[in-house]
Amino acid sequence: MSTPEEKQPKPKTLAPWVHPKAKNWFADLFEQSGLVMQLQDAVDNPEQPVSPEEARILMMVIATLGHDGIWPSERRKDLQKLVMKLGRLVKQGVSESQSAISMGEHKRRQVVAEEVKRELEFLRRMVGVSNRVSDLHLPKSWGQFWT
Amino acid sequence: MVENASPWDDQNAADWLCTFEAWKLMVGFVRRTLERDPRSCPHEIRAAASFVIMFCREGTWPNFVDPIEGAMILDLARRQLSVVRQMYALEGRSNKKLMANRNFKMLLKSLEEEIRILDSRVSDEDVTMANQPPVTWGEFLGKRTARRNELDN
Repeated sequence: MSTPEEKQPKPKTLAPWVHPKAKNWFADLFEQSGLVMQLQDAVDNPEQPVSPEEARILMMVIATLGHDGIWPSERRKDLQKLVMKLGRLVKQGVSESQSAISMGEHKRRQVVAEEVKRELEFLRRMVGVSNRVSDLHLPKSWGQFWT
Repeated sequence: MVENASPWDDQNAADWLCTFEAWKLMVGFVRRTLERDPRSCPHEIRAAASFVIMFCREGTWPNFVDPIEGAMILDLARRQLSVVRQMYALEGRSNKKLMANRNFKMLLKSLEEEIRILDSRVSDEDVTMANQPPVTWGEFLGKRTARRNELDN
């Protein structure tokens, strides 16, 4: 069995998506599922618009799979366009006013709306659409994401 | 933070994602990879297990609870990744130079952490561990310095 990892110099090059065979695997995963194209169709479909909640779950998917080395490098422009469109879709949801809701529910929605803004900023940072340079932290709303 | 406010906690959005054709195809691709022999494709198994770590939770995994697909996949990923780790550890034991290599040690440590994360998801007991990515995942979903704005349109 070969361990080509031995020859690779930096610790971060040992991530699960870096080895050429792993890279090919992720490329096949994207290719065979047609994810990028279907996402583009979904956010561009005026007859069945993506809801703010759906846009939000897609932001999580894209923040994760949009990582350098996972997302197909030749589709990076598409990734950035998707991020901009999803940003518009979730913002719409935040600004829509809800009538006849309790004080508690109103407060809850406000907290969520704040967190959604942070999720969007997180996503923009993950895919290099934002220029901010402060430390990047997992959105609180993702909770115990790893465990 | 209010409870149940994660992006994947919204039932309608979760249902929508889990019935999305491309997403179902991705999950199927991951499952089929995990069923392969880890001895012949350790890198593919680890890549597939990393996808499981990223997305195998209620809300982002089709049929996570019913018919308990989630527990099955988490356990499969955990077992297969353990075989991969064992293969590397065995090789290290018979090769002192390799065992002393910093990157090789780092890889073993990362594999252990990846297995522990999967463990923590299948285990009923509380596994206390830091809420952070495995050691070799670099700046994945975490601290990162933004690159220059690449948008030109």
